[in-house]
Amino acid sequence: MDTDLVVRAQRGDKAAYTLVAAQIADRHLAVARRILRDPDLAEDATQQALLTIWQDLPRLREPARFEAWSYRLLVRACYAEGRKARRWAPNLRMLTIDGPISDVGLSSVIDRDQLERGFRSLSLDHRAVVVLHHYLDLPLDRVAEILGIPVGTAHSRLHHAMRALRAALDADARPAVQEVI
Amino acid sequence: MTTERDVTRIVRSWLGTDADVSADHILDIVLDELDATPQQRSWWPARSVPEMSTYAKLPIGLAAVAVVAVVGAALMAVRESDGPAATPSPGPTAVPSPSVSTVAPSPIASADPTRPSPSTGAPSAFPIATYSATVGGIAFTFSLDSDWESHPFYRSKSTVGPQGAEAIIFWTTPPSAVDHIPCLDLLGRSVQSGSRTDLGRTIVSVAGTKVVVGPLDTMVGGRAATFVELRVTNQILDNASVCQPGLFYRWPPDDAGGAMWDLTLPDDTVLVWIVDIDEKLLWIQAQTHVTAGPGYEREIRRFVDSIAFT
Repeated sequence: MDTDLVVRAQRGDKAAYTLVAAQIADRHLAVARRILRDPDLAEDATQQALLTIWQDLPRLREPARFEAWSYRLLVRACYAEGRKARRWAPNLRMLTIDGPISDVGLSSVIDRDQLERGFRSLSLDHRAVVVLHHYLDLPLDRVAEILGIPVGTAHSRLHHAMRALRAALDADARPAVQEVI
Repeated sequence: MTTERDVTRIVRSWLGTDADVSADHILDIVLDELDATPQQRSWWPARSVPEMSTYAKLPIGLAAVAVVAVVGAALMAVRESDGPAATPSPGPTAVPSPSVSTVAPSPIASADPTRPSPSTGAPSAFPIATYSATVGGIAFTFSLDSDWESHPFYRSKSTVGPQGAEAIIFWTTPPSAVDHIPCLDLLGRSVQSGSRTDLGRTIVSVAGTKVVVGPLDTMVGGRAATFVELRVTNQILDNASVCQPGLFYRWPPDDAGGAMWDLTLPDDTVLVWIVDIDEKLLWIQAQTHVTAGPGYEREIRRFVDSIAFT
């Protein structure tokens, strides 16, 4: 991200913010969709985050850290949308599958379904760590910085989440074995 | 059995193959709303000093010192000539009064741990503003250093940044005017009808904390109160999903951003005052991270000391 653009946007330059937002919007939406597992909630969270980023830009003290800060506001918007969903309505919508499955290591659609269910059983705190680390490829110290948590906590959340996802995948195999016996 | 490496590979590929859509339509909505969305200016400028030359920084630094000296002298003059604190302004939520006063802490015995000790009662570097607040039908006024950020029902402060708060003060009426009390629920005791002393006894046994002080009887704003000081331990991480972000209380996210309190962490300090007001209880909780200096706690205690019920 061009720091000069961020600084101009901080000073209220809407044209500069238009360029900033255009650079981050797609990626933010992708992250929100993966954390929330719901397209509508993800769009609301992204929209809210982009507006909050604009509102709060003058309060960002280090423009060079814009990216981490913007993800932080996005994750907070995801938390807010996630809470609304829990409070007001059950949310059973799944994201669509786009692209091949077999060539990326998934053994079947059932794996994907198990993963989806396993991931949804995680708290938003845990999902955020998984998505930032395994989707955005950010090292855990940067994940910790974005989420405002100690690195040890980020490690702990990732470990817990991956253990839960592994259990979800293994649970798929267990009933079949039991039926044979 | 899936190996750890398999799980990582599967999760990465699963996240990578989720459908992605363009955010153009969201962008259009956001850009349309910019005109109606004013930016929130803060009192500190965006950082630009590192880009300056050393020769440019020196006169600016000297000028800053001179400004601080002039402002400090002016404040001292105001303090000497001022009377009592400014009259608080009424309002349904906490709002600053138009005038700013410099409120000195009242002299209190240092043996009382619920009060600031003389050695920590130094005047603030920032002007102190007077505010009014109403929660659960309880109206009160308070004074606080003006470098604390105002939010609808709490105050936060950060000088480390970039956005994480090092301290927060909030108030509510138990069991919850804000949200539920998951950590208290863990104790398995009824907090719905608990008295001030019941609540004080309950919170000192919450997992993930050790008691530093209390529960102690004290006074806040001329009303009987119970005070507890806790230090958060590593065990809090076991209750990560229920004791966050604030120990005992959650609150709705503040979309305005600013200095945000994300998590209660080991070694945080938690100060709680439960105040009895005509059979209603006011819960005042303040938390500080270890990154907060001693000045934060001094300001928090000064805040409590300034509370007056209206």
